[in-house]
Amino acid sequence: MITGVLIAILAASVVGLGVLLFLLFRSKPAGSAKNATDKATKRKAASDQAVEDVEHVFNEEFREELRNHGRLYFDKIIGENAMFLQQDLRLTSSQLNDYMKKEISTKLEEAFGAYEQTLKDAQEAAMEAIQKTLRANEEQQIALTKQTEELLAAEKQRAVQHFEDNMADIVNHYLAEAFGNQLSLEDQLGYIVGEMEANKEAMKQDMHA
Amino acid sequence: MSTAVPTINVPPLVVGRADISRVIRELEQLDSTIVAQRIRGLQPDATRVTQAMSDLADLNHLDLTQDDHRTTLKTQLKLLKTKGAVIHMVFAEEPNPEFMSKMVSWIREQLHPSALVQTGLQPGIVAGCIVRTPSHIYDFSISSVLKSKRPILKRLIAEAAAAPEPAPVAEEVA
Repeated sequence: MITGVLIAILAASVVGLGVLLFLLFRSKPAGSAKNATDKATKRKAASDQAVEDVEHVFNEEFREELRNHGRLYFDKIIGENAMFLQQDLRLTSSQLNDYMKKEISTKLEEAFGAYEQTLKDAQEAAMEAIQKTLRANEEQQIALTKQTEELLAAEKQRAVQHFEDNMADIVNHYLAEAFGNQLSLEDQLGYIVGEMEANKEAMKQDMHA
Repeated sequence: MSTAVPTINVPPLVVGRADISRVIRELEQLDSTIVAQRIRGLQPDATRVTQAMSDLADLNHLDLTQDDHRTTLKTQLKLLKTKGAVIHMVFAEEPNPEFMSKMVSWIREQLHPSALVQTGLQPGIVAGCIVRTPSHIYDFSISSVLKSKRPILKRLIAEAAAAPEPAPVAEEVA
């Protein structure tokens, strides 16, 4: 049916074109104004005739049929285009998805790389700080150890000196603790008399002075 | 100013000035007693005196019933108390009378016949004594001996510190 309509449209077009060519080749250049007026009148009449013929060929029914045909064709085109658009959209979506994945992966890798680098830098800085602290601690510990050793040596020397200076008193104290009341004066009488005997002359002189 | 010196002999029981003062007081009491006995018409009795007084009288051949002897003795004792030679002795503990008697005897035999001895106490000297005469101090204490022997002590302590520690002795369990 569509083919028939197209053939009819084609035939109508051919007829219209023939009429126009006929009118065009029939007209000749005139020398006078009267001829020009006649030609214009005839041309107008031919044009009106053509319009009437066209109106006759393209009646309301034929137009409705053309509209339906055009609507259907348009629907088909719309559907095909929608299908193509959907395919393109799917393809684009897929490509966009891949692109996004790729871009996101790249960005994430860059971000992770930067983050890793930052972490590494921070770790190195922390390690450096810790090592500095450790070195400072070691130096301080060495200084403290040296100072402590010097103090201990000085204190030991002082204690030894104090002990040596007061050695007699210390031994005396130990003797006093050890002997207690066991060493009576009776036991010491021999020693005392012996010592006084040794200094007898000097004491005698003192007493008689 | 009198330059008289005491000439009496002092028994070992009379050690220091405190004993001299005690004997002088006893002599004054004896004077009063004898005066009282004479007033009553009794024979003077000087037998009831302390051992120190008795020894003092015997040692100096004095008759305590006679006034001049007592006066002489009192004078000599006062002179001895003020002018007598005094020797100070410091011990680590309080000396007992027997020890002091021996010590005083030796001093009066060897140093001075009428020397008085004053004693002092200083526990820190542990043993021995410190003797102070009128012009000198003689330190016969153990602490003085230890101080004088400090190099020897240092050497002994150094040797003891260098020597290995002795093995612990196992105690017997009863």
